[in-house]
Amino acid sequence: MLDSETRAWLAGVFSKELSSEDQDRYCKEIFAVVGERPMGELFFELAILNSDAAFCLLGLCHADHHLHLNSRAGIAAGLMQKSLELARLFAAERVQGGRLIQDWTLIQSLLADLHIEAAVAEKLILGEMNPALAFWILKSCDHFVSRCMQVMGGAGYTEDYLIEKIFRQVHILKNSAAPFSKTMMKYYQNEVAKR
Amino acid sequence: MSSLHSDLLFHYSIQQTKKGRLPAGLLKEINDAGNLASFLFQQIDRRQILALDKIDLSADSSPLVSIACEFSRQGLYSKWLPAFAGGGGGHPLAFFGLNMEMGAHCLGLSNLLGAHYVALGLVSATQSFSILKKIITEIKLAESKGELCSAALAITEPSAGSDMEDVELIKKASVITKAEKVKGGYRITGQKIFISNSSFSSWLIGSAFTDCKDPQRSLIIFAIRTKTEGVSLGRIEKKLGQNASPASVLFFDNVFVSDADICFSREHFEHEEDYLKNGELLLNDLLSLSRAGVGCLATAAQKRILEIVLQKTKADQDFEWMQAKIALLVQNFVVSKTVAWEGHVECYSRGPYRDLQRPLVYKLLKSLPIPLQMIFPGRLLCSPFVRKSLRDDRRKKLTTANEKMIFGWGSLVKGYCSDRAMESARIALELIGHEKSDEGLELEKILRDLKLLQIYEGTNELNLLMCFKNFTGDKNTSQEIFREKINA
Repeated sequence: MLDSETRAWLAGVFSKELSSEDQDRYCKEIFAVVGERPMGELFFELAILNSDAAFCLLGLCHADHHLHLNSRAGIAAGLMQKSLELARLFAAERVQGGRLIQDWTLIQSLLADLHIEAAVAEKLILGEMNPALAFWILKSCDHFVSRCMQVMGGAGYTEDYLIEKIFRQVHILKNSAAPFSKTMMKYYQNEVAKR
Repeated sequence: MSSLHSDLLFHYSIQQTKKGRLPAGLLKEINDAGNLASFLFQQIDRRQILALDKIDLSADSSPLVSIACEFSRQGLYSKWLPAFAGGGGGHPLAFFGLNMEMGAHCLGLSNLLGAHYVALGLVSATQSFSILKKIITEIKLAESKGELCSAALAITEPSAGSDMEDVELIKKASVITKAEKVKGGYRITGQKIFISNSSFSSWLIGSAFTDCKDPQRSLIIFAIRTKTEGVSLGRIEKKLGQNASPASVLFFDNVFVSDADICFSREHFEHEEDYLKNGELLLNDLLSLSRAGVGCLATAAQKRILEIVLQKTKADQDFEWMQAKIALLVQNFVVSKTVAWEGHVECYSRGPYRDLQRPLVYKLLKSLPIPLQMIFPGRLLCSPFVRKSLRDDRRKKLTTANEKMIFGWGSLVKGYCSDRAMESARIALELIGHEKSDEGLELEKILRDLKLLQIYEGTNELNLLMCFKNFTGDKNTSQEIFREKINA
C-alpha cells in the first residue's frame, strides 16, 4: 500500500476540481515522486480518488508495455472499488417496494458477488503483479461496472451519478491500447507459449 | 466479405410459417414493416446518426425533430393505429419487423416511434377509443403537412421507478402526482421523470393518483396536450446513451384535465374489484408488450454488432479463435431472435390483441376500407356501452394461465435478449478495440445505447423475479414475490 503521507498528499491534490493544466502538472509531480513504486498500486488508489487524474497519469507511462498494463489494471481495480461504493451508497438510500433496496436479498446477492470480485481485484493489485493478473482484472472490469449500474437503475444511467462516467472509462481502459482479445492472445503466444 | 446467412435475417422464424399459427398476410405485413424501416434508413446516413449522439438536444433538437418529421411524412406515426379510429390499421405485431430493422440502425431513433406507440397502446388498452380517435385525427393532419404530432408516456416518478412496473410494487410506491376531482374533470399536480420524447411530443398520456398513499386503489390515466396550461418541461437528462431519445422531467402544476380526456378511473367502474382487476390487466398488457419490444430492439442491435464485427475482423477470419468468437455472436443473435419472436407471438396470441390475428378477423379488417371501418365498427366502439362491454369481456376472457404466460414472456424476452446483446457488444469491443473509424464509434455507441435496455421497463433483475412469478408454480395461481421478511 502507499504510505499514509503519500496517500494524504494524493487525497489533498485530487479531492478538489482541477483544471487540465493543473492535472498535467500534478501528474508529472506524482510520477517523479512515486515513479519507483508498483504502478498498479498507485493507480488503484488514484483511480478511487480521481479517475480523470489516473487517466492523465496513464498517458505519461506509455513507454513500458508491462508498466502500462499494470497501470491500466490498477485503474480498473480502483474503478471497480469506486463503482461498488457508489452502488452500495445508492442501495442504502433508495427505497423501492416500500423498503431500501439494500434490504432486497436479490440486491444483496448481487452486491455480495460484486464485493467478492472487487476484493479479489484489490488483493491482486496490491500483491505481486504479473500480466496474467492484470488481464484478469481488465477482463472483468466492464461487466463489473455494468452490474453496479444495474443496482442504481435509471439514476445510474444519467450523468448525475459518477458511475455513468466510470462505465465509459472502463470500456476505454480495457480496449484502448489494442483490441483486448488480441492483446491477450499476443501475450500468450509471445510470453507464455514460447517459454 | 463474410456476411450473415440470408435465412437468418428473416424478420420472423421460418418455422413459424410452417406452423400456420398466424395469418399469412400478417407474416407478410411483418416483413413489409421491416423493409419499410430498411428503406427509411437508406436515406439517413450512419454519420448523421453518430452526430445525433453528440449534440446537445436541450439546446437544439431540430436535427432530431427533422428525422421525426420525415417519419411523420411517411405516415409512421399512424400506420399501426387502429383503422376504426382513423389510423392506418397495421397489425401491432408488424411492429416486430419494424423494430428488428430500426434497432439495427439506432436504438434511440427507434424509440421515437416505440415510445409513441406504447403511449397510444395504453389509451387503446383502456378502450378509450373516442380519445384515441381525437389524437389520431391530429396525427393524420400533421402527417399530411409533413409536421410532427406524437405522444409520450408520462408514468415514471422521481421516487417510483421500478415501483411502477409491477402491481405488487405499486401498492407501496412513493408517488407524488396527485389528481384531485373537481367539477368536470381533475386537477393534476406533480412531477414525472425520464419521459422519453416529451420535449417535442404533442400529447402526454400520464398517470396520477387521487390518494398518493394508496396508489393502487386510486390510479387514473389521462390524456392531455403538452401545451396545456400548467404543464412544463424540466431539464433534459444527460444520459450515457440513447441521446436520440431525449428524456425529460415534466411538471404538472394544477393542470385541468376534463372528464372526456380521462382514459381510466374508479368512476368508470361500478365495482371496485373490477376497477382493480382492469388496472392490473392494463399494467400487465402494456408492460408485457413493451418489454417484448425491448427484447426485439436488443436483438436488432446484435445484428448490427455482427455486421460490424464481420467487416472489421476480415484480416483475422482465417484463424479458428476469431471464427469461434464470431460464432458466439451469431449464437447470441439467433437465439435472441428466436426467443423474441416466440415471446411476441405468445404475448399477442394471448393478450389484448389476440382477436386481431384470428384469420377471419384479420381478413375482414384488411378487406374493409378505412372510412367504412370508422363508421362501423368505429362509432360503435366509441360508445360508452361498448367500452364497458369490452372491459368486461377482457376480464372475463382472462385466465390466470394466459396472464402468466403474457407477463412471463414479456419479461423473459426483455431480460434475455438485452443481456445477450450487452454480452455481444462487450465481445465485439474486445475483438475490435476502440477504433476511431465510423464502425468503431458506432459499436461503442451501440454498447452505451444497449445498457439502457437492461434498465428501463423494470431492471433485468426485476424481470427475473417476474419470470419466477409467472413461469413457476401452479398453472392457475401466480407465485408470490416481494413478500420476504427483511434480513430473514
